[in-house]
Amino acid sequence: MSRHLSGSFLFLLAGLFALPFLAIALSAVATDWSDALLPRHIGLDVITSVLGDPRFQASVLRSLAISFTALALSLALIVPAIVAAHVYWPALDRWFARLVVLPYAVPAVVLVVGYLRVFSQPPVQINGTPTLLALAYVPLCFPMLYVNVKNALQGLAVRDWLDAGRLVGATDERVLLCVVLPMIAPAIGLACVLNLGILMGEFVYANLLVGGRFETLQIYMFAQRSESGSVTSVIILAYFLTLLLLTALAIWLSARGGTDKR
Amino acid sequence: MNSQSSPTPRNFLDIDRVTAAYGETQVLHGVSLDVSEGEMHVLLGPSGCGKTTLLRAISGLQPISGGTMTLGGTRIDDKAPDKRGLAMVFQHYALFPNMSVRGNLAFGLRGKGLSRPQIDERVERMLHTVDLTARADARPAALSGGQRQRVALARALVVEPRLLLLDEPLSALDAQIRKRLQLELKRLQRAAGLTAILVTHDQDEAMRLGDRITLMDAGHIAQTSTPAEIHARPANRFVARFFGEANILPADWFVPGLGGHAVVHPTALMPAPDASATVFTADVIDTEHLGALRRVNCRASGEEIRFDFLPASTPLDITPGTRIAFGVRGDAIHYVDG
Repeated sequence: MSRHLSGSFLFLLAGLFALPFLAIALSAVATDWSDALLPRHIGLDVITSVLGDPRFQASVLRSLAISFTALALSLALIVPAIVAAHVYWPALDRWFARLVVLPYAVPAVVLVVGYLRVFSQPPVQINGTPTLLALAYVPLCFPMLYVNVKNALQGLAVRDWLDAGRLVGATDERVLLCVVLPMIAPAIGLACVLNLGILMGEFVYANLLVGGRFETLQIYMFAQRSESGSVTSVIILAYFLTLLLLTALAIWLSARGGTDKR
Repeated sequence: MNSQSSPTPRNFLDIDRVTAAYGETQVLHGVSLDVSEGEMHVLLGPSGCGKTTLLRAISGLQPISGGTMTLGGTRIDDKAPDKRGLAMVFQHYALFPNMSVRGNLAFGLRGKGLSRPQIDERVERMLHTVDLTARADARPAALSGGQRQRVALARALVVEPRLLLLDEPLSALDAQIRKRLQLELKRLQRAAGLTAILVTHDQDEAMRLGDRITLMDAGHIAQTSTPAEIHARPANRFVARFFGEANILPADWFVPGLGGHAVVHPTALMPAPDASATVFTADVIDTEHLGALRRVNCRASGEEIRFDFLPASTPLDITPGTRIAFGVRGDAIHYVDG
């Protein structure tokens, strides 16, 4: 009885959560929806027109370019640092853990105002440029990368592998590249997917740092809010589906990482 | 403190007054040790005695702060780990999980100037030696504990080391597999004529595998001897206590007026047939079964006494509260100072 009840409750909850998504999906395909509970006519006209809009395509490409640039930079900076701290300077690790959450601890507006002041004058005058946005996104990627990579490293016998390598003349770099990196790759992949989801949906930094000069997906969505509801729905639907895809990828990567330790 | 016995055929590894420290903590206090060619030398001792540190110091993975080490007449303590001509089997194997068994074996051979066919040939030969040809393409995660241990051993042997270092290689295995692999390890070492140093905290394993045993205590060598010698003639009370749960009794129980202690193994005690053969009497506290043996725990003049006998050949009816008169053969008593 209680099992039936909890099952029904879960279904109800799932339905409640799915309702806005279904409404948006319906709105995206509605061609005439004005005086009834459900649309009178549906079609793919709006979807094809939005997806074919060069401005939409450009905004998606800009968002992807900025996100991948920020991810690449953060990977290059933080992953070697996490591994080095874990292997060679474990005492510094707890400081590391505190430092990487700073982008979450300081309100985004405060950070952005700081960036705008610092980069408004020489020597690095990059206010309003996509470079500044990409650089501002880099620290945002740190917490997710740190947590995932650190968790993956904790289950590995890295020091033993390095010792085993040293005895046969393999440098630490070779062991780290050939053994440790493949072992933490699923965790890095998972962090990248999650970060990509965050960056693709980021609005505050993009709006304040570059605004309309470099229209990302979120800025485009914001600009389209005054157009027809169907257009906004299509954009939101596309964004939701992308996030869904990324989440599925993250779950798959996380399951893959969990089954292949040691 | 250090008592060496039985002359060795030829000193292959010569460790001379080696010291090592972790920060401010001195772990090895001037350790000197000789290992003969073809010998299986066991480093034994309780946790924290410095046996693994000594092994790592020999390998070059642990820096030393003093002393010298020579291998086959060549000084090695100033060489990098890979230039010392040795290999090591780690306690938890340290196999590379993302590589197959074959990949693990080949890893150490790459960069040694060998051609691909030469590497393949050596890997295949070693896989055959440890009977893992059928599992050559498996990842370590797909292998049993015993198989992983054999891969670790094969990975160490494939580089053809002059000295093999084994850091508690069997400690992660259950008792049954452990015994089987002890025999296999000994067979492989004998067949290859390898010089090996094995670290363990298990005295049975040390007795079974070692040609000679070095017992360590707090960074010092307490005794180096053959298994039989170290068991029968411990150098001091620490060694006596470590081996065979020997009874350490006041020496003047056996020789009036003699100072120090007498070491009597639980199996060397026997119930005295008459008053003239009685050395001491003891009250039985309890009894316990040790496989084929039965142990009787007694107390005499404040000393705890352990007496082991074989019920199958010596039927004795001993119950708690009984008083037993014990006799001991003179040649079964070993006297130690202190």
